[in-house]
Formats: sequence, structure tokens, C-alpha cells
Amino acid sequence: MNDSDFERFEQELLRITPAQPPPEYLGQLLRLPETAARKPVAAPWASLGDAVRASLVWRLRWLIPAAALAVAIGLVWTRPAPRLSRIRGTVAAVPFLPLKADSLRVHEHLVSSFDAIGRLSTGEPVRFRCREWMDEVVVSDKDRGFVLEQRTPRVEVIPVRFETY
Amino acid sequence: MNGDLERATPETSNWEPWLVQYAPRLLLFARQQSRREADAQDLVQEAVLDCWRRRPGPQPPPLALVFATIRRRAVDLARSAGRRANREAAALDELPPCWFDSSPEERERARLLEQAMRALPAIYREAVTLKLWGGLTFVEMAEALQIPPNTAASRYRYGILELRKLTRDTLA
Repeated sequence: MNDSDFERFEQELLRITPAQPPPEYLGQLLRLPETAARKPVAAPWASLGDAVRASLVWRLRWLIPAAALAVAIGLVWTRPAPRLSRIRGTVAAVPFLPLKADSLRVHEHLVSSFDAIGRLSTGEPVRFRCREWMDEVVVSDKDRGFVLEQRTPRVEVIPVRFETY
Repeated sequence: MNGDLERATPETSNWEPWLVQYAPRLLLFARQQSRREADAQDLVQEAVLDCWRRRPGPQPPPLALVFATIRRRAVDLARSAGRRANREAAALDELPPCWFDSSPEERERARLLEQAMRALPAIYREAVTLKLWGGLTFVEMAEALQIPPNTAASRYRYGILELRKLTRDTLA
């Protein structure tokens, strides 16, 4: 469908108008202003005092997370510092275990491979063979329950003369 | 505060023409968002009042805000389990109202268009309704539907294309 067809179809649709509301309902809607004037039900609260209180609570709502944060900071701040002797004892109790990986995996994944064509300043075309690799090294120690994973993207670009390809 | 609200009542002179002009469009959108006619009428009435309460004054509220309120309230209504059960029970014995003008000369076309609109996915249907019959801009549609303007535009375009496919043999 081209633009003019699109616009023509829009105009076609616009010729069909939304149904009119039932007369009694429209009358009810038209009486809304009077109803609103007679019964000011705008405020969900019952009295001015409640309104002020609700408004204050709403305005000070940020105090709740702020107070929680202040309490958390206070707890951390006032927590007694661990005694040096206890640290020493702990350090002495657990013998230092050197990192001992029980599994080492080195992989390279070919992510994509494509050829690109460029032109030298002399006008000679050159083809580039491009490959995207993802080098992956995974070291794990099951006893200590850790896995170290490193992924490095690598791009390999090899120029290839047209004659040799 | 209550005193202010009492004074700030919508003036009939501004609201009457506004309601006469826009009530059919608002009701069309509400009918698409709900399953019962009574719910649709309630949605429009409550949305208009809600918007006025938020912006008390003689000027009618922005149309996009009323559409957005209808949509929000329709979602709330659908979530209400008790009312859903009632609605489903009542839907069995209630004739669905016509969405479009059913004057004798347009009756057949209106029926075909309504069929096609009902077959559209809801996201396209609301985009087409808001733009075409609601008269909103894409920016206003984006506000009403809480989506980016580009998404609103693409939904509208896909909606029209889909509607064209659905009515190819029936609407000229």
C-alpha cells in the first residue's frame, strides 16, 4: 500500500463515525458539572485536617527510605570494631591455602567470518578476510567453589590479493 | 481545600460542547477496553470526573489525559476478580453495542469495520482508535499509552495496514 492509498483508506475509515452514546447516558454526562458542583467529592479524605495530614504524608514520603538508610548507616557506624586478637586467632586458625585450579580451559570461538573488499591508492582491489574470535579462559577450583572466566573478543584481518584468491 | 474544590466547578458552557463532541470518541475507546456497555459508560464518566478533580477549573481536561485515564481504569477494572465474574455472567445475556454509527446508509459498513476492528490485535486497535477517531497526535498517543512516540506511530501504521487487509474485499 503506497502513501496515497494509505491516506485514501484513512479518509474512508473516517467517514464511519463512532456511535453516538445513548441519549439518556449523554444527558447523564451533561449533568456531570451540576453533579460535581452539588457534591464536591474530589477529596478522598473526609475533612480538611485529613487532607492536610494526607498532603503532609505525601510530601514527606521520601522520609521512609531516608530513615531506613540512616538506620542502616547508624548500625554499621556504631558496630564495635573487631578486636585484633580475634582477627589474629581467626587468621591463625585457618591455614592459607594457595589457589589450586583443578580445571583450566582455553577456548577460542569463531563468532563470525566475512570478506571485505577495499581499494589501494593505486586502485588495485584488495580482499580482506575478517574473522571475529572470542577467546575464553576458564579456571575453576571445585574444592573452594570458584570459577574464574575471562572472555576477550579478538578481530583478525588478513589482506588477500585478488590474484591469490 | 474542600472550599476550593467547591468553588472550582466545571462550567456548563465549556463542558457541554466538549462532552457532546468527544463523548462518542471516548465511549468508542472505552467500549474497546471493556466487555460490558455499563462498564464502558462508567469508565468514561469516572475518567472525565477524575480528570476534572485533578485539574479543577472551567476548562475541560486534555483529551489525551482522559483517554489515558480510561485505559488505566479499564486495566484496574479487568484486574478486579469479583467484577470480572459479574461481567462474564452478564455478558451472556447482553447484546454488544455497536461501536460505529449505525445509521441505515452506513449500517453495513459500520458492521464490517467493527468486525475488522475486533479482529485486530489490541495494541493496534487502540492506536488506530486514538489516532483516527480520537484525533490525538502521535505524541499525545504516546502519553496516553505510555509508549515512545515512534512506537505509537508504527503501531498505528501496522494497524491501518492490517485493517486494510481485513477489509480488502468489503470496504471500498
